[in-house]
Amino acid sequence: MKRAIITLSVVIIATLCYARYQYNKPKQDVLSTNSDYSFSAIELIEKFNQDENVSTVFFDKIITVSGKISLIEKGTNTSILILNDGIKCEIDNSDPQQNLTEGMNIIIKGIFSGYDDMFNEIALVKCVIIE
Amino acid sequence: MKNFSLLVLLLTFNIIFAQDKLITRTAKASFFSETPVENIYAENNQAASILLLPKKTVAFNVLLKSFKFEKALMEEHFNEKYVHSEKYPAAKFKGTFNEDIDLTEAKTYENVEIKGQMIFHGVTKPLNTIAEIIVNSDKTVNLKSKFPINLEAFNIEVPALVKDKIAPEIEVVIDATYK
Repeated sequence: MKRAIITLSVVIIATLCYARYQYNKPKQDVLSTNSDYSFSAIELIEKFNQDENVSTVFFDKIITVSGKISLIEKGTNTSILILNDGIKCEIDNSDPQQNLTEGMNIIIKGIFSGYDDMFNEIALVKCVIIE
Repeated sequence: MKNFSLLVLLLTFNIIFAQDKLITRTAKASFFSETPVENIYAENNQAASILLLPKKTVAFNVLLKSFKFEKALMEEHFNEKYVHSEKYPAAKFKGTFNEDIDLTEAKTYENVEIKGQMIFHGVTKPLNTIAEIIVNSDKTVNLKSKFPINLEAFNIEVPALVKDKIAPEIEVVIDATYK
């Protein structure tokens, strides 16, 4: 009987700990997670030009992209960098990115969040600049 | 020569058109839902929108995966269990309004009625809302609006376990600055 109570309490405590961990699960750290794919901006855009359904392959995956900044659009909390006129990367304004200018070549890592068919752009969120 | 005049014509047309087509990629869409356990708030700063003043239309394209939540678990549940963002990646809205908005004069247009259609979670529903449109002196334009979305109307199932805890309607706030 005593043993049963002990076992039960252990199970309950473990469950509670797990639930608490799940609830407070840390946010995905893009910088320290290895990327699932790595492309040049041109290669990635080409993949989408060939087949728009490639979205399902990349969904929620971390992609590293190297390309040229064609446009910077500043927002209140985050800004958008457009690479090679076809990939939009959302970066946090707290990121050290003051020295970014249009025309610069960069390597950026972010989570693929979908294909924006309004501007025909590949969207990456939570991006971090590698170099 | 003929080609040249055509090019000039196209360029002029393009310039005129460019002034009337206002765009943004950094519109903010957020929603709020109050539950007895905790409040759920999420924000998306990457909404794309086009405001066409001559045609009096406005369109939004919001990628659902770009919503950010306070807790990672909420974000996961939102994408995987509620809106199924892998299958339905974007929420879209296209609407029209009646006001003549003059870009040359800084002015606030209150109570602009926008009538349109919303596509969300594979369901298309009419959506009418009131917006405030502000023309700033630097020719940027702000559009702000707030409207409720009924989860059931868009076939979003709330698991039975939390059904009494999650409000059937969520409040959506849109804040866009066009350039």
